[in-house]
Amino acid sequence: MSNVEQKITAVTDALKILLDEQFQEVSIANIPHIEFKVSGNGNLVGKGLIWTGAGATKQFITTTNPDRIYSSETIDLAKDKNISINNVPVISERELGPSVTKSNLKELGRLRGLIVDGDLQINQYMFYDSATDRLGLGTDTPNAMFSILENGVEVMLGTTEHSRGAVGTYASNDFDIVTDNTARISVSGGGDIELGNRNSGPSKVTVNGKLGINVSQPDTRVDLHVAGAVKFNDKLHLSGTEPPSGGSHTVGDIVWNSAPSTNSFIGWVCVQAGAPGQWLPFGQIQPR
Amino acid sequence: MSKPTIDQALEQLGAAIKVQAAATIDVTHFLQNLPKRSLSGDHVSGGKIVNFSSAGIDDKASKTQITLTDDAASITNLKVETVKDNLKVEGKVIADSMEVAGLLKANVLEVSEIRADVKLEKYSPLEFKSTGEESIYGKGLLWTGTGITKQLVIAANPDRLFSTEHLDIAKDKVFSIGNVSVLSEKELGPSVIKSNIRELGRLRGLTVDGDVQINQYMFYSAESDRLGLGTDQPHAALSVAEDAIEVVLGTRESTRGMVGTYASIPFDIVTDSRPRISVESNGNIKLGNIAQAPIQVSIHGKLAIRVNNPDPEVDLHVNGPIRYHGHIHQYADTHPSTGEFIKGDVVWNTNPQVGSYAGWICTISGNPGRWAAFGALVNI
Repeated sequence: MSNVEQKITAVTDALKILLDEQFQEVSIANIPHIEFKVSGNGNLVGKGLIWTGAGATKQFITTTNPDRIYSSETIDLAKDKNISINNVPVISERELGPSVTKSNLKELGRLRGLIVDGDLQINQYMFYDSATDRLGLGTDTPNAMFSILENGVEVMLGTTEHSRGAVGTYASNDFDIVTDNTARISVSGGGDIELGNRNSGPSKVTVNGKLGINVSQPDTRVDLHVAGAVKFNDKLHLSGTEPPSGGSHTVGDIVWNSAPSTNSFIGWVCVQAGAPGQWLPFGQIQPR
Repeated sequence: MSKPTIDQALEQLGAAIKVQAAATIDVTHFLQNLPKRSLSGDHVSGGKIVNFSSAGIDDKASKTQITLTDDAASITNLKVETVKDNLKVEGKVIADSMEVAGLLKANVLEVSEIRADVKLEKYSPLEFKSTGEESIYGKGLLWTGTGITKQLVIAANPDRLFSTEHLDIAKDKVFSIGNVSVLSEKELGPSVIKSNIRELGRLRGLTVDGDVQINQYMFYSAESDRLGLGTDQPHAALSVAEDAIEVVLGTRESTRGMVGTYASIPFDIVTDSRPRISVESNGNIKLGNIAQAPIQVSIHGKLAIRVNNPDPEVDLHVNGPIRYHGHIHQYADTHPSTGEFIKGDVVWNTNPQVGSYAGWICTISGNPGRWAAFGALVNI
């Protein structure tokens, strides 16, 4: 044992005795620090402060793998004190330090607010993709700004062609507009549209404007512009230069003369059902 | 001269002793004639030597200072400049001060205060030991002399290491529990999964397993996989409840998409913040908005009204009569006999025959009004 070690041993032993025995109040002045020194093949493991004699030994010592200071006890700070790393406060009684930006927390308290930059996933059901700015419920690959995938049907709400709002289904599924939990307007996957519901009472459909049917350029002078034939009261009204020469017709069907002239007729009416049936002219045009 | 015999020598010695014994000894003369440094210590026994001095001893004491016995040398006051070699003391050493240039070794060192300008090196833990009635609580490290006493001590209830000061560890070091990192400068350890945090920074992402509630407004139920805005009981995958009206968006019958209202509330499809298609709660539908300029409704296909099997050959198939330009057009086998009609209304003949007419036209409004036949049917 070297001379210095002997000195230290003496002082250490003396301190130990001091603290062990009747001297409970000891002042150590002008000692810059207490150094636990490795000599020879020794190591620092287990060096530090220990408290014995009251239950399990309480330790505040160095240990290894990795090198660290180990405390066998909870560490309790005085009120308003904090734990810091490199003089940066990382936790106090009420808050984590602002430098702590990463966690694996799985439970939070009742948040006062929430701001998220980036993706959002909730319960593997709600997905917000920050790259596409799309939100999906039940799907992580929404085909619109907002998509709901339920029972294999994707309903989307968003825009099309950068200029139009849109709501409907993405794939060839039917889509209903509903009131009172009853479909009122149904659009089939193929595009057919049904106004009203045949399983409910007849709906009144009012067009506050003009209605064009199969017309690319509706006539602005009329409220109803139909490109082809019409049928009402189960009777067909169509247009032609002569009575039909083919096709099934019923009594009362009418062909309006598309090339009327003086002494000709304004149309023909089916007087006997058949294909084409028997037709008679009516409404002879008299010269003025 | 001949050599005396033994007897002669003893006789002469006896005579000489007798002469000497009868003579008076002059001690002063004797000592003066005693040769210097010829007297052996063996000639001294008892008595007191005063003003004793030798090459190594100068006795100026007026009273006894050192008493030597077979057991020890007893010294009343000892003033020593240097003690060579080891000094063994079997009793207390009481000194006003002591300086030790080398090692000070003691089994027990009792001090009230230690002042040192040297490092205190430790080779074993500094142990605070409970003895007798003395507890370990409150023991530890204290720093005094600068403001309040700073402590790193053991405290009780529960047992813990208490610090009056911030704890600061070096950069890149962490706090761990059971050798599992729980807190570093930048992150909570992955084992820390529970908290009561109420404020978060700007998250880079968020993954939630379970229910979500935001401001008592947005409710997501993990059990039903439904999202409610303004309602915690959504009736569709997405429900928006506002002003006691629930708007739903989702699917129906596992095969159909749907949007609308859940209860008997009208629903509008809107552009430019104006209703364009209004569906009443009873199912009536309005295309266009009566409060706005008339719109154009185009049907790129065929329109059937109250027809279960529309005629594919026609664009407009109406089950009943139609009215246009204010006049009704309907079919019957004769002109009406009841009902309100106005001049110009037309009834088409459902049974046209040669000699009859294509139909009848109302010439005077009334109930049923006056009717005239038109379009006499003749053979060509």
